[in-house]
Amino acid sequence: MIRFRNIVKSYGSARAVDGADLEIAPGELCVLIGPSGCGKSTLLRTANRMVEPDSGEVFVDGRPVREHPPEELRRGIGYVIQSVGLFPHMTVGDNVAVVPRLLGIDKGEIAGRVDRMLELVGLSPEWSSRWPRELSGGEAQRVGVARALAADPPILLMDEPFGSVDPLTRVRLQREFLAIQRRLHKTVLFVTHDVEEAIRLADRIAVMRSGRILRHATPEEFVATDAEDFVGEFLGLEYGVEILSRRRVREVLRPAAEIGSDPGAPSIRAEASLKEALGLMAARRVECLSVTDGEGRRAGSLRMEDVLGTWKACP
Amino acid sequence: MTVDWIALAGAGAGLVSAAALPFLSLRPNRILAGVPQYAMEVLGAGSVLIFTAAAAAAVLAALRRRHSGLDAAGTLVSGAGLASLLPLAGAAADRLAGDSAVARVSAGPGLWLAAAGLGAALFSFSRRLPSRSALRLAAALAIPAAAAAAGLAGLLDDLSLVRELLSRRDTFTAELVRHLALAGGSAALGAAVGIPLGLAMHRRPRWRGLISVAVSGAQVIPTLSLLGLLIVPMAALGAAVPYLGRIGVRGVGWAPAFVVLFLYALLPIAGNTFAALGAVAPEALDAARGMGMSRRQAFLRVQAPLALPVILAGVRTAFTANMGNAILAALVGGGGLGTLVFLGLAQAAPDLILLGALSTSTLALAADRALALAFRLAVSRGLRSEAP
Amino acid sequence: MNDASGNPAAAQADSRRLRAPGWVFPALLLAVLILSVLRFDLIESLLGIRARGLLVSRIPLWELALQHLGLVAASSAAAVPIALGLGIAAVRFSESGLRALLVAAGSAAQTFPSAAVLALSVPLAGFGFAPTFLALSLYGMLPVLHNTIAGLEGVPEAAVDAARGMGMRPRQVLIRVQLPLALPVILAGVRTSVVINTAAATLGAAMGAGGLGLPIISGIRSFDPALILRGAVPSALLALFADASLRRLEDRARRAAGGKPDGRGA
Repeated sequence: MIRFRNIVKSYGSARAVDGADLEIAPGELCVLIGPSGCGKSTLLRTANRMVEPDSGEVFVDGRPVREHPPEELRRGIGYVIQSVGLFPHMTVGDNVAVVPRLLGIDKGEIAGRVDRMLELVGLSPEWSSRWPRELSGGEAQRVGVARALAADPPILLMDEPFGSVDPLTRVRLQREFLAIQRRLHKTVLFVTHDVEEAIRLADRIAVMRSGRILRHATPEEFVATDAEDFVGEFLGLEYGVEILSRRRVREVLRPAAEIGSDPGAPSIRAEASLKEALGLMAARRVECLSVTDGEGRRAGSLRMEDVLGTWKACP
Repeated sequence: MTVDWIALAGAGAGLVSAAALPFLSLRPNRILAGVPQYAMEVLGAGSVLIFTAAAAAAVLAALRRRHSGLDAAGTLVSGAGLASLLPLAGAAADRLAGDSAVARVSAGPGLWLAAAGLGAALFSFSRRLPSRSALRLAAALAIPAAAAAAGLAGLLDDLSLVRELLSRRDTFTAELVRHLALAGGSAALGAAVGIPLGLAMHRRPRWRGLISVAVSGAQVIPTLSLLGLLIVPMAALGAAVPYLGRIGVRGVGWAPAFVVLFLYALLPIAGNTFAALGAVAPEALDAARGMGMSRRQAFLRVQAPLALPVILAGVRTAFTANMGNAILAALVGGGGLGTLVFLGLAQAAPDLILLGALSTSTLALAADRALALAFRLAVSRGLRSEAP
Repeated sequence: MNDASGNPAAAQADSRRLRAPGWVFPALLLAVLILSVLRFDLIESLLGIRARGLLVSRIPLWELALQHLGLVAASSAAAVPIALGLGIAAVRFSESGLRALLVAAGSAAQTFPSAAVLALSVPLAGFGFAPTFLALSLYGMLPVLHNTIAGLEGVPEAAVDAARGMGMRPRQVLIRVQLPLALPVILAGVRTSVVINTAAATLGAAMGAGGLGLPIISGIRSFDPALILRGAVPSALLALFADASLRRLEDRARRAAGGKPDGRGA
């Protein structure tokens, strides 16, 4: 559905993207993760020709994007950016209706679609007449997603779309977006530098550093080959991971009484390292593990935020 | 709740100056020196009304500390006092002037300061009322309404300013029209040229340095000097092109004044347009392009509407400034309300100066308010700030 | 007196861009201004014209220039401290409504044309130096007042909070933190005020206050272009010099306040 072939892009003497290859299958949510300045946003922006690569080719539906006039190409691709970029002089409804209007869809149809889109992102149709300055950060991000989906594009490009809201809102938006994606099956390229977000959302994860894709695989594949490698490559991007392999699950687990039991959760030994635990969570796409002690008895639960929290808190 | 010090000081100062300073000044004719007239002597019962209103406003301001809800009463009292000043002064002038056709009665410092003090009290009291309250609106309308009613009833006819106006009604109207045409026409032309110029600066970085130097330079050089410097080239232009000479392009007259006013309007409008277009949030433009708008669409639907408030603010500033600067046109024989001012200066006739200067200031203020209101309607509600 | 030497980073940036030191332009303007006032005949012979009339023989140009300078200096010296004090008081006692009153009155007064303010002061103070001084002082207060309020309110909340947290008293916070940080904006107001007054002082001639406006107005009345130039050229140069040199001062303050040395804007 989207294929990047050997993309190179330089700004002055600096290579932002240095021969990147990546393929995203139809209906797949691919998270592109990497440290800031690794070229991930630049790569994303070559897909809708907001950036023209120096060399290499991007294919959408098997056709090189440079064969499409840029405006027509973009109208068929949803685009969400971190700062949202809602137009402050238009109401929420008019913002959502921008692309349908550019496509010349008739008025009655647009009105209905705006309401459906707002509902999809969890806002009632009354929001349609509000102004962007009246929205909270989380509400603005929802409208941003609704606007990108309004023309029903098969492809979505999302550049840290939930990056500028507080952590609690971010988790809620991620869950809601995942629910939408399970219904609509868009082909999504999602850029982030937030590990938690990547694990929570991705069908496939592409790790990028210094303008290149280091590894592109499903979370399961990352773990199947070598759990150490997965965490190393994946988390070593921005943080020291040593600490995760030295810490044990029992150090951060929550006693069973505190959170109640979750019978479906995969189990892990209390003596395992946090690194292993995180690998298991990624592989099974869960945020909670059931912890067993040496005799196989249930000792409590381990939550992803606790693992990442411990580790982020370290110097 | 605290004491309203502003209202207390304003009402107190208004009371003292109305009582202790000359309220009006009577001159046997237009040129002779004035004889001070005190409120208690010339206003009779009216002075009690004014003193009571000012004293009551001061008391209400001081009592705010104990009782909430006194703001409405304070607004009412200070507004009533302020609105009654002019009709009372007019009636007193009528009695003072008697049958004399040449006697002049003008406002004294007591009247001016009482008006200023009560005005400050009114402002301070009404500021705390809800912004859409009927009382606040009534207070804002009562003062001009009282003045207009008194004027129509002929009550003000004996105040020197009104006498001056009535004796020159035809000249005044003609100069007013000329003033509006000069200031408004040059500002409109300035907008018509300045906005495209600002756009060109935005599109072509090469011109930016030159134009920004011209913009700041022209704002620094004194208007009068620029007017003087233009006389020679304008005279040459009028002589060289016979058609221009016939329509009045000469070293003196409307042409140099129009050109100076045009330049003064042009440069800030161009500068503001340029700054406004550059200040549009880059993420809004990125989103517009990313959603598939062409350059033209992104400009017309996103960049221009977002820049509009600042562009219009520049146009408004230019119109307001031109309304005032057009006074100088009279110096080169260009006409306008400045004619009255400079005639008054030459004849040492304060009333004439006052008439010209006050009407010009009123025009500038009116232009400012009217354009603020009109432009507010032109700007998207999503971009409006709360206060008008 | 290259003040860039006090700041190595700025000096380096300056030399890299190969820009002339900031004081060169004002100094050049000053030199041309002095030359034009003392030897206007050089400019006249350059253009091949010569001013006639009584004015030329009776009052030397340098005397008119000094009158002009005196008017601007006296009115600015009166306006700046008063406006600064009012602005500080407005921000300190903003709950009392003083700020609201001053801002409302100031912005209304700003729409008044300077020529009208000058003319209106004649009935109040008669002819000559007094009404011009009065009008220029009042009118010159407006930009300083406006910028003092804007500057003090633009000081980052965090800086004020930190100062208070370290135990500074309100007066100390004002003198050690707020005023130094607001200084560039306040100085921009002073510059605007001085430039406006330099321009308005040319109109003082019509009120009998003399100054460089005198040859301009007499020249217009007698249609003598050379006489007009005698006033127009030095007054334009004076305004440009005042603007350029005060911008320089502003840049210094901006650098001291930790900002970028850029006199544009504000």
